Amino acid sequence: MVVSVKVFKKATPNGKVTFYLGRRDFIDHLDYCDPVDGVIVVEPEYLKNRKVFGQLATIYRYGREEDEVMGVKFSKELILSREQIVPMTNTNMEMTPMQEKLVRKLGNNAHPFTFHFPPNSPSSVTLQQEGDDLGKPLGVEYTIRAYVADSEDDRQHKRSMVSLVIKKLQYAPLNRGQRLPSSLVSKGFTFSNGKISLEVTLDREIYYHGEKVAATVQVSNNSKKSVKSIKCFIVQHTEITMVNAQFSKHVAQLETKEGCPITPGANLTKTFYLIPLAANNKDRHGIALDGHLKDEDVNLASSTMVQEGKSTGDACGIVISYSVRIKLNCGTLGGEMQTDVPFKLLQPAPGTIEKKRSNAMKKMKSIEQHRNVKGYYQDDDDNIVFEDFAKMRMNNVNMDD
Amino acid sequence: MDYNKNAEQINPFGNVSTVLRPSARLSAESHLLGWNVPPHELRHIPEHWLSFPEPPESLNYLLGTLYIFFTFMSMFGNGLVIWVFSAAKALRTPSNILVINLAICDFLMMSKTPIFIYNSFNQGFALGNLGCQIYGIIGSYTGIGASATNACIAYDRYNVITRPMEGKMTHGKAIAMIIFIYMYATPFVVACYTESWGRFVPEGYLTSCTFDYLTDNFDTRLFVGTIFFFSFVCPTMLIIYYYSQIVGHVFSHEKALRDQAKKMNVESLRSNVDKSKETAEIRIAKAAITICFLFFVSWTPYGVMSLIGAFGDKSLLTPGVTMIPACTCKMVACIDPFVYAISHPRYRLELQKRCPWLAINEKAPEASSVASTTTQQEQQQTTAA
Repeated sequence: MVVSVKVFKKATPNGKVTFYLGRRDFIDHLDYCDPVDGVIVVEPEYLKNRKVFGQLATIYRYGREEDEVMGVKFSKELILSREQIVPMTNTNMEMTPMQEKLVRKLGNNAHPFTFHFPPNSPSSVTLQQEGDDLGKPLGVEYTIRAYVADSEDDRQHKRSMVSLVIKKLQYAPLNRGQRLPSSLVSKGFTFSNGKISLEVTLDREIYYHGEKVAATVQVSNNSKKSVKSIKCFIVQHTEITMVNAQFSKHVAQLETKEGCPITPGANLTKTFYLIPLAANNKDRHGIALDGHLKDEDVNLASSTMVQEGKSTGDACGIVISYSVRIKLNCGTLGGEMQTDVPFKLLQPAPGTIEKKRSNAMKKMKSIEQHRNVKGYYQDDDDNIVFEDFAKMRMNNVNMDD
Repeated sequence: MDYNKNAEQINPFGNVSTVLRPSARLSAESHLLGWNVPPHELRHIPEHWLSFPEPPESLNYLLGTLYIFFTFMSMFGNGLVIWVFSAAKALRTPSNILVINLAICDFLMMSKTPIFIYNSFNQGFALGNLGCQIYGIIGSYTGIGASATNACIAYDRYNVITRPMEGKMTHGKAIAMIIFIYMYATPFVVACYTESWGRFVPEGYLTSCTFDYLTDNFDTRLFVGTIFFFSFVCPTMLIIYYYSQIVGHVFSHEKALRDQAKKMNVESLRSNVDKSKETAEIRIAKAAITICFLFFVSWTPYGVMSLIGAFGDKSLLTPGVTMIPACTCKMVACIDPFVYAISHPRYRLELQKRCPWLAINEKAPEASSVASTTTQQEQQQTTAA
């Protein structure tokens, strides 16, 4: 099998300026974040004496465009970094291997550029909308763009502007930790003695997407009530920091009466297995997904990780967390008792065994896809596959109009 | 019936001789208001008006002409809103159902003006009591309907802006609100029409009709107080509350965003910097104040006038003065389509598409994205081929 490197390519509507990017996923390792490295190709005779400027921007969209009234905009764009790319101002820039390869391949008109994500910048998250909604996706998105102009603040023309959506993601730490999260609650009743106690323990602290979450529930009933049924949920908590809104959604659930009723004096120990999957939550409004690009398989949003010594309150954008929620139904008079056990749901970091396994799966899929799609430009020396985006997502340019 | 007794006690001619002012008596041509009303219709007119001299004909013609102008303005503006919002698929959202309802109220408000115009050009109570009752019924439904719809729109916007993710209006909810609006207006209309509590009577130059706020008894005063509270105080309070909340939330959203930008060491929020000179907060505050002010201007004169009539010094209410509140609410019916719809970018876009002769120059951000996706698809097809 020929190992080929996939390169993303996108040109301005007039075809004069083209982005080449080695990847579109950039990983936040908490202590540092992958820089956005790429190459731009410009026709010198088109450029004349003008310059090419580049920007890295994040777009927050926290409400549907069609709901905008009174001139309120539910989207905000922050320019995180900007730079003059052609002619290059930063002379002591070190090129990454990918950039070197591309510059070698694309010739004299290729200019490398690098953008850095500022500290605390949020991860890409998409909030799912109902099926028939064709509006712009809600959530946090990143885009890089380049435009031709005389000076940085010139009005940008759509014809000579190119923008490409990229993702910023977080991976799980290499070590999954030994701690088993658990929670213990007990509930007494107004008119009777004794308590019911409920203990929930998870088999891990960090789960990877697609993994089974095992919650061991221990109920000991020392009261005079009996437990009628047990409900088990996986809850996704989403906090939209820009509008101070938060909500919770059940992404997996089951209800059982097995072993019930738990009569006074009885005990029950039982393990529930739930898999939180995006596929089971299709078309549900407000489910948070990892920032996703067109037609990709997508998973639920990963838990937001913050640097040590900082609280999630300092995080920006959309903050995601998960918990297992167990509810005991103690009959009509007894009411319900519930407890939440937090856990993290993340992407496996590259290099770990799990990552290799899931990568192998993805590769199989993509090879099959590639077999069906002809027209990719194959390069013999470097084995670079150019994936041309044409004018996909040009609309992002107008996010703030 | 109390009113009938009152009417019988007044001998219209006796009345004339006792109240007639010197100036009126000197000129043979001047009449008192209501001189041309047939005797059997006189009992429908509050005696308060009968003591004033008849207005000059020119004033009636002026008002009639003004109403013709209002009618065309409102029917054009609101008709356009109803047509475009119901024809364009992109605009058929639940929230817009409320906007359409407001336009319908404003549109129908004008369906009663032919009565006023006919009366004005015939110098007074020309269409008699039947015309007056119809005028009153349409006026109450559309007036109370419009003000309640204003409150509902304020509520919906408040919901959407303060909870952009969850505060989602559904078709069912919007329709339920509209049904509620009309049910809300119904008791007042029925009570007045059946004259069981309050009644519709002519006012001012006897060319327009409204609920009775002049009869000097407890029932009338209670009615005026009730209608004042439910159709003026309640909507006004709600509108002011919701819009002030909206402005407050927008301020806090902008602040939260600036804080986050600072955390990331980003100095500029481009959307605020070079697109418009005003910040988002100021823009929203202006819009909110405009809407509240407009509502206030349109209904406060009516509210104040009816309170004066019921509880205050009636002599302040000359026929000429009472025509002003009637005009302000008609005027607002003409302005509403601009405030609620023309400020809507998607509406302007649709309008431009449907009526190019209006020469609206709205940029089409949507169109470009559609175009670019199609070119992309074409390219995929060519590469696949």
